[in-house]
Amino acid sequence: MLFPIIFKHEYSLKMEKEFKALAGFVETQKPEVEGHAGRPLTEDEVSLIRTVADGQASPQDLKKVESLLDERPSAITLMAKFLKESI
Amino acid sequence: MAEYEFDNGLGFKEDLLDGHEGALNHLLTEVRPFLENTMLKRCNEDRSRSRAREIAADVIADCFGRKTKRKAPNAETSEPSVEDGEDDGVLELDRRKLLNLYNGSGKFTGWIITVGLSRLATFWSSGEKKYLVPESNLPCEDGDGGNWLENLASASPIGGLDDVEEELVSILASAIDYGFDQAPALAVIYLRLAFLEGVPQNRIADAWAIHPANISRRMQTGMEVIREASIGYLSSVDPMLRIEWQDMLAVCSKHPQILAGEDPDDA
Repeated sequence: MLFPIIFKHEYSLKMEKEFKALAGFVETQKPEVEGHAGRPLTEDEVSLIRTVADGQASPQDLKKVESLLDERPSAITLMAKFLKESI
Repeated sequence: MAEYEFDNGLGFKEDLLDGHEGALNHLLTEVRPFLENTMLKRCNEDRSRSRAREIAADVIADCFGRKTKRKAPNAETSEPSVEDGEDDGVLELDRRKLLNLYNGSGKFTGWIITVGLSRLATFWSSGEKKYLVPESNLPCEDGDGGNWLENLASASPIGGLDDVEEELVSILASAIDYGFDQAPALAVIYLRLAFLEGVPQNRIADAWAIHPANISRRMQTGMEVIREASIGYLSSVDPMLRIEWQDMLAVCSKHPQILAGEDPDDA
């Protein structure tokens, strides 16, 4: 059963390479949406992201955080920080 | 008839799709001549100018869908259309309207000019380019088997791009932007967390309380949508353009600062 695992790993690496190739463009083309630029995340927003990172979120929390992550790249960075902290 | 209020943005697009008479009139009497004249300024001989006029007309027509001749899946059993009279395929209206690709990120006139110039650049880069634009340094398909996109991918960004190359890159950037717009937002979030931020996929799965395989599947789907929508955008904008995904990736990875619209000399 080793072959499918290796294949899957290689596929994932290929996907990562492709996404990273586009990443520079995405990062610059999708800044904070209008009205959010320069505004730090509120305490409630940070708390919401923490709740999701801890795996304690309700479906409603997930919906809210998905919208936040979609609109604000800084929220993605914070989510990543929380997720890596708890490894 | 009351004068049409042209907003040069999404409002104009919506009016056109709704069949607003004033908007259609503005497209034909103002936008089309502007497009044609802008393209003609780039042409320095008769055949190129003639082609520019054809392209301007095609771009305007394609805004509402393009008539294409294609072999129907059941073409061998179906009767030829009375309308086209062809016996080797059917002529049908492509429902993909060029207008649908305009997302309002810039002025409508700027977008439609970019579309027109991209098609003109493809014409120049075809086999006829030596006769048409002998002084052009546009990367072109020739005996070495390359094409403009491959050449662009291998070119040094130092020294910048000429006007035509900039138009092509601008279309490429719009295509990728469109691809990301079409991908499910959650898939893009997972892709960013995993590949840009380096979060293990099983940690993402824990946070969303779903199986890691679902994360992986959504990411794959997201990438497929980005790829197909980007390629689809390019083929809709310029039907003559032959694009390989790997070439697009090569341009993106080698020239991100160009795609982002920055001055390459500052990189």
